[in-house]
Amino acid sequence: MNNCKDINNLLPAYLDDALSTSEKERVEEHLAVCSRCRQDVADLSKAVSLLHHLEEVEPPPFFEQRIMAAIREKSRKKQSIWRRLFFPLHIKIPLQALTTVFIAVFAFLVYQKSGPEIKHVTPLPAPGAVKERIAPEISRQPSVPATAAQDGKAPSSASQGQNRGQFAPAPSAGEGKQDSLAAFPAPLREDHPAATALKDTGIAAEAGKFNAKGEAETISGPTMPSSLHSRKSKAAVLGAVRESKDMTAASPSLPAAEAVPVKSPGLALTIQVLEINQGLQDVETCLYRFNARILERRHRGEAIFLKVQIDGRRIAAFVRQLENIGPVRTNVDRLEFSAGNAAVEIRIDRLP
Amino acid sequence: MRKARWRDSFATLTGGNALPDIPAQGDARNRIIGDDDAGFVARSRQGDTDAFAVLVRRHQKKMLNMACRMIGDYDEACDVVQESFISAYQAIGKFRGDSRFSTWLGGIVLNQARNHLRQKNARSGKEEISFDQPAGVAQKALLNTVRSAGDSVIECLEKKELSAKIQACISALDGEQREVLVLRDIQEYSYEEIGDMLKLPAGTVKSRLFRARNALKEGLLKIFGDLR
Repeated sequence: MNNCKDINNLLPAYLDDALSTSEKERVEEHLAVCSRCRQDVADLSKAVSLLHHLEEVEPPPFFEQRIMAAIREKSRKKQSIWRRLFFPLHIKIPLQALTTVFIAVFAFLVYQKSGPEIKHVTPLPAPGAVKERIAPEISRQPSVPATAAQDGKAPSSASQGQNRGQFAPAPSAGEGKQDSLAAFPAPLREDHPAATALKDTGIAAEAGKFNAKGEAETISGPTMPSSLHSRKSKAAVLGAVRESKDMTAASPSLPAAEAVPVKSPGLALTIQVLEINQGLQDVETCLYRFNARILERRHRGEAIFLKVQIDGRRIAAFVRQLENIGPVRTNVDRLEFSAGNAAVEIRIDRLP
Repeated sequence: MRKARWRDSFATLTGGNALPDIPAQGDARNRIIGDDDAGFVARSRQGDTDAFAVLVRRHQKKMLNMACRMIGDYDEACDVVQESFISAYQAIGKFRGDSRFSTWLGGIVLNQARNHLRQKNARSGKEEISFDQPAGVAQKALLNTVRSAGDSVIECLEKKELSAKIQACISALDGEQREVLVLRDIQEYSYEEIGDMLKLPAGTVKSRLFRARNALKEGLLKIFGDLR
């Protein structure tokens, strides 16, 4: 019986012809005598043949299509990961439109970030060019071929008489400037006191407007400390004389601490001069000396507005230099600015 | 004589009568060339789904039968085969070509079927298939068998019942034995191929197969009483 069990385990290999010769002989010897094992061999071969003849199942209809649809869907999903990351919207935006928008936004940002030098593409006016530009304006005015000395001698109204009294040495200022502006043609350098007198009231009104607008800090007579006021007057009187001596350096006699009140991020200056065009020339000469750039120039009534760009560290010296031309008012307490270009608005006004 | 030689050289040049090289047997590289699927496999690797569709068409039936015999449920087998083809398409870049495509695909189906059965058993708490109710799980798997033209309805029903019973016996086998039995006696893969799929030496495959055959015979005897 034990023998039968061993033989039984060898039977599949026997049917598969996978036994060694000795084992095969042993099996065959046993099969010859054991009917039960013969039966087993028959059953086994029948079982295997049943398996071989087992009917095949057919795939369901459209099985291939079903599989391929699933595969195509999966491969599309795999592709669309990239698309989902970069094109989350279902709207198809043409590349051209996208590029246009991008360029527009980029240009706007560049414009915003850049300094005023790109916005106002006014080139730095050479002193000669400035003179040329001013010349026609002056020539349009009734030409009064008067000298600086005549300027002082031609008061025509009471108010002007008062002004002249206050700023008595003004003619000398005009004379002083003659040196530095020798290259100018005569009509340029000369003022016409009649016109000055006529326009005085207009300037006062303009100044009122200017102050009301808050473009510059008002330091009107009553509110301004008297000492400062008088100093400014003196500065106006002596300015021209000093200017010729002390062209580049800041005047040591006028400490920076004395310079004017009020807080505002942008610096706005008001300089009052006896004669607008002369004052403009003086200011421009001064600007040129400080390597400043004139970005914008506007005429409003009698007053002239300049928007300039100047090194922040040199503003204090620049203001002191301006004080040699005429009384200066600023809208800040201290003239302390960091290095780099700073925009300054200068209003050139006629002295009342 | 000279004319004939000239014609031969012309034929060689134009490729007109040139016969393709017959690959030597036994070499792995040559086996790839011998694989009818190689061209479609290469195209599928480039992402050509139409080429893969050809492979699906060629192998779907064999793979479905294999899955069906392993799992014992027709619908589940369909799902497993579908998943296997999807896996095959996604992993076709990894197919090195050192075996036939059908062998590689069979390995994937085998793995998918194993996973499916494992999950199924985990869910149902290992329901043992009883020999007393052979028509239960197994019969459903065989509803889709094709009726041969000459068979009467009764013959067809008898065949179906027989198939269901045999399937029940296959399903009742131990997982390892069932795999070998299906691969060898139903799918007729060579021992070498089965060894590739199961990562087993051919000797182990054989001994496992013989045990499986014995076990199947015992099962069939329990159901039919007599196999004659």
